Amino acid sequence: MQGIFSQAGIRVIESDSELTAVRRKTAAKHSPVDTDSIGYYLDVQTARLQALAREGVSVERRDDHLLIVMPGTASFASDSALLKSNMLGLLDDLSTVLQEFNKSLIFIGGHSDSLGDSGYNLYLSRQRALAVGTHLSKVGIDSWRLVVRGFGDAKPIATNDTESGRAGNRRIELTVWPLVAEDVAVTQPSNVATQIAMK
Amino acid sequence: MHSLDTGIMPTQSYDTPAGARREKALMIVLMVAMVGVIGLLSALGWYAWRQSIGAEEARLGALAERLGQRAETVLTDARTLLEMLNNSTVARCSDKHIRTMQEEAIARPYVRAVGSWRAAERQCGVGFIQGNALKPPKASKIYPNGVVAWWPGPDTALGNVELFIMRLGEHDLAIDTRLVLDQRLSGEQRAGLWVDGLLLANSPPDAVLPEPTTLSRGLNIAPESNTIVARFSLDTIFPMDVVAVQSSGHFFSRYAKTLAAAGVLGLLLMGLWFLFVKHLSKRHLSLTAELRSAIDHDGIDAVYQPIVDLNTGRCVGAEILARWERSDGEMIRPDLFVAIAEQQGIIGGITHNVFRRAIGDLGKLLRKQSDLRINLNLSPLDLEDNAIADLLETELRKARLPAATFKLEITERGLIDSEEARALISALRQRGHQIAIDDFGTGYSSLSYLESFELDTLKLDKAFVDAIETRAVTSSVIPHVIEMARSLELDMVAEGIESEHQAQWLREQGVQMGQGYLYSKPLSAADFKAYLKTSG
Repeated sequence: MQGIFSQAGIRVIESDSELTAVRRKTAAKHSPVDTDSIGYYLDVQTARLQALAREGVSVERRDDHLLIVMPGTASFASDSALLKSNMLGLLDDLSTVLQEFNKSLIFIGGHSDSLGDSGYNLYLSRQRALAVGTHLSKVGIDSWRLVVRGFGDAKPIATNDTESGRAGNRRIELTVWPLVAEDVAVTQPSNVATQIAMK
Repeated sequence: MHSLDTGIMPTQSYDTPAGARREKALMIVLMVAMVGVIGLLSALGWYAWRQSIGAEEARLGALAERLGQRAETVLTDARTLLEMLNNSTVARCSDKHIRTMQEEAIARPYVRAVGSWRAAERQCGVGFIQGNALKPPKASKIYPNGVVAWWPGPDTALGNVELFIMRLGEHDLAIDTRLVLDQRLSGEQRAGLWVDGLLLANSPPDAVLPEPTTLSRGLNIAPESNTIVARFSLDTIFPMDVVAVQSSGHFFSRYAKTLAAAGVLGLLLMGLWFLFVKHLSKRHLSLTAELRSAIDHDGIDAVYQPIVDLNTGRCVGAEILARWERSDGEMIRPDLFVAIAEQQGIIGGITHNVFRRAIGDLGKLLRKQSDLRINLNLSPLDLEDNAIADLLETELRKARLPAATFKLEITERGLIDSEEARALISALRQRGHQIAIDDFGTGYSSLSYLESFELDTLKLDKAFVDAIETRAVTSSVIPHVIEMARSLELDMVAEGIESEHQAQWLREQGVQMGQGYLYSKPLSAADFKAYLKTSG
């Protein structure tokens, strides 16, 4: 068992290894994407999401996953985990595509800047990620596809010395992982495999 | 006997500089001819080349435009079709949905298949792709508007046809690009279409074409591969490049006729040019030689243009004008042969010639009517030495005529030069000649400068007299010139009077004398004598 479950039944995790394990387990349980069509699956989904993107949200196709970045300032009021209404509407739109392309895990990571208490930052970033996950679940994404984690200020993507850098760091990252049979185990460190095997 | 100097000069010393001059002139003529011919040929070659290039560019340009527009139409149409299918509310994969897709596919020969998808699963579709869907692993382009495109390649091949696949939303199209590129290319042409920098189609399908990025826009000629390559770029909804290729052998054969015609025309023009230059140079060289000969043999004629008193109309004298008729009867204009004579330094010969002619023609008359004044033109060159003074003295003494009979016309240019000229003019005047300044107002003499010479008469240039007719006289300088002459106490003779209006105006301004066609054209000696009788 990885992580704990929120009220809405969304898994909340705290480490990379937990995510790896969840991906592997989910792929085994639900029907994965054909290995041959992963590229196609990602390309088409990227195009569909990109056509919907607004409010500063970016959609990027990576080699084996998609990365959707929601800017924190546009998504939440300061010091709040309540999603702004514009962003709720956008999540509704994105969720239609995410529902159609349902052979994937959606990992929602919350990130903050480094100002203030890092324990609090971690807490708020997790709450914000959970708010996104909860909304997606509410509009119809199966909760088993949703995994949430708060990173706090641990993974900045820009400098924390400037306001624009900090604004970039305050963000929600949605990583869409197609469910892939087999290959996860091959590419993961052995201790994870061991951990899973021990279960 | 200075007057006979030219006649008895040793032939040697006379001919050598003339021969050298002639050679120099020939050289110049030849060089001019060469430059002319080279210029002409270059211009023709350039023209023919531009014509051919222009025609070829237009031809390949039209081809490229046709291909580009066709491709654009196809791509725009494909996108519109996909949008229409996505927006349709008909239940997916229902009979009606499939029938719609079928109809749309049939309407477009280049559409090989239409598919209806859910995520990465083809739900249903029509056309050549059945069930076994094409899912290439890597899109060629993902456009922000949601279109995903896969360029033709091994991953999009169905059988041996590589398809262009375009997906938008839940539908996709497979397009056979061989039918996008127009098949109506002539045998020797090849063409390729690049969209977004990627080769989308080529014709014929096995054609090997250079990448557009390696070419400059317009026409490129690759002599090593014997081809002409044209690149044309369009940037309407997609950035497109069309590369069209054809062999240059064909290019030259197509324009052989044009080039040959240009060559013939060039040779023809060259020939004409040569004849023209030859004619000109021959004429110029022979004119000079003939003029020398004419001067040597007293072949320059004198004619006399009467000068009349403007108030009474009575003839008071005449201006001697030189005339030259070539041995073939052609009359050469005075300005032409005087210019040649001045250039060749033989103008003195003409002065001598006409002066002796005048003495012969009018000697008797002048002895009878001593109040007549005959004007002899002196060139600035005549004022450079005393030869003219000696000639006048000798001839006048022989003819038993007073110096006052001959008034000497000197141009402003003649006054400019030297102290020598000034001294000579002064000496001539002391002997009794009157001095007239010719073409007055056309030069650059100032009043004070003129004042420093001893002058008697001022001849108003024809240009001023013409101005009386053509524009408001008050705005011209002629009143000032007349005022100037009056302040210098000079007599005035107006030249080139052609109308009574001019004569009237000049009379009113106090101009005493005039000459021109109103009174008489230049006359032969006999006619002049007759005129003199009738004018009283």
